[in-house]
Amino acid sequence: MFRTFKWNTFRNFFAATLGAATLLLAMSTSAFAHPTGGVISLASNRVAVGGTVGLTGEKLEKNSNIRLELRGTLDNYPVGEVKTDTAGKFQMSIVLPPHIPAGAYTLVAIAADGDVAARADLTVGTLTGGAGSGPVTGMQGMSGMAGTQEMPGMHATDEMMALRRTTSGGEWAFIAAFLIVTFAGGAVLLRKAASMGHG
Amino acid sequence: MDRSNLAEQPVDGAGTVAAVPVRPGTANESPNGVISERLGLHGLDYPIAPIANRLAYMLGGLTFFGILLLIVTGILLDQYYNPNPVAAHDSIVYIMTRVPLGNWLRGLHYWGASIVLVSVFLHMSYVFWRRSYVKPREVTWWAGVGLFATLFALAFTGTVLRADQEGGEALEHAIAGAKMTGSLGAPLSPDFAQSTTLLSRLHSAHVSLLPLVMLALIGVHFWLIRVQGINTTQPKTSKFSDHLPKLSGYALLLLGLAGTLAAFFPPGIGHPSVQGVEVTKPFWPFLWIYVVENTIGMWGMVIAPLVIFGFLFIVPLIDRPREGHPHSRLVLTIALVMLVLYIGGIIYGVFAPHKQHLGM
Repeated sequence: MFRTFKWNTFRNFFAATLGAATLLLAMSTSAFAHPTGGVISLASNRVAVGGTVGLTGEKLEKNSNIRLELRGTLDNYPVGEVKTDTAGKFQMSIVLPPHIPAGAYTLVAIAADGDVAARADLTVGTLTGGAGSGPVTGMQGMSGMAGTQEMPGMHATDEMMALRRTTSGGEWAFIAAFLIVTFAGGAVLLRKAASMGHG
Repeated sequence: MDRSNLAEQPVDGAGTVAAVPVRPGTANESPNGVISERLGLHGLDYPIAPIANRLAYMLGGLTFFGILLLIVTGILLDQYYNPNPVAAHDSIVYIMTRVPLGNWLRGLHYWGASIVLVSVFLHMSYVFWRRSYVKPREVTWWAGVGLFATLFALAFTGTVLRADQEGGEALEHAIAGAKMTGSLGAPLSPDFAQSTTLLSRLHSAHVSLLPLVMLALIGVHFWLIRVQGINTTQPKTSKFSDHLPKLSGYALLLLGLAGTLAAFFPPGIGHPSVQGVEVTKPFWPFLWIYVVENTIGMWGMVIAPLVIFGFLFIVPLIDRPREGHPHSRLVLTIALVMLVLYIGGIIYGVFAPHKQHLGM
């Protein structure tokens, strides 16, 4: 590697690296200096479908409009808007849309610039049967499959769900490349082994 | 002048001119030599019998490569899986519909699991046929039986994590079986830990406890094979480093097979589980248990695995090597009967009518 060790070159390299790291850190402090730390608190972390829950916010931007949204695994649902007071606080009740499926959600408060200013976890389901991640008292057998029990009109079935699972062109290209590499690589290695007399 | 540490640089075709000082050991080293020396790859050059280069002797190695595939795809899938019982099913739907290559990745994991279970079964069958469990390889065999059981436990917990109707019924069966076994089955009770759910604990078992047990047993298994060699009288005229390219070649072909199946036959997912009813059948490796349950009730779920794994465990103890007797007739007969029942049970289970077991 280094045929001759030059102290000056190493020292210069070290100094340049240290300087670059310092510059990067200095730039990143501007990101940390950006005001964050908004908080929203729910009166309860478990709410029934279509139910109402109290919500308070603080340490948010003063006199600004905040959008509230429920973000689930499969979809997002707007639940309202509020304006903060001169202290950056608000207090309100939110009504959950009756059509949202039971499950785990994150309630986010979105500031006027589109950034998420605060978030809180919320589980939507019926209150009996322990819809959530807490202890499963009152549950029998299924120990945590609670969310499904509340769905009206649901019947047990051995059928698979009909999901739209479209594979994009890029994904097919990746899969094709993967298959070509594995099959070709396998064939090459077996040929090599055969030629070495180990076939 | 000692020129042994000097590299010579020809200049203008007029012959060597200047000699440049070179660090000892760095001149004329190929990249392969550099890597091999630093990673100790020459340790793979130990002698083995040439018979190990046959496919039948590579089934264990292929199983290991399959397990590596499951670990990699499992880690990727776990980035998106939510073990919260209310969110678990949705998180799998999310993987299948919204994660790039998620559906294919899940298919790789599913088909990889099936391929591993088939290859480990073939591997165990061949080892049994060769009587490679006799002295001094009893512990190797027991480590292998432990691995076989661990793989089944991983298949079971993986089914439960789906949180669909099949997963829910699998979980209910396990809870019912745990109740029958009293305190032994306590960890499978929903009330074992009030601070978390059973699904979360089974997720933890699937991604950490069982893989750790499996890797420890693989370590024991590989170490003993390395030290004791395989069961053959052939002289060791080949090298393990020559065995690897062929093994890797077959492993890549199997990987391609898994990738193809995942692309064109991706596994589906059932609807969210509804408690208290049985309308599905278990994952195919467990169909033999389903058939036993159909016959003798819920106790079949406890007895059937105990019988099979118990037999596998005691085989080295009851089949001692004797002069002129390649196989104990009793052991062979029992093994054949079990093999027929196992495979026949799986085939029959595919066509057997649905039956309610819970509450029987």
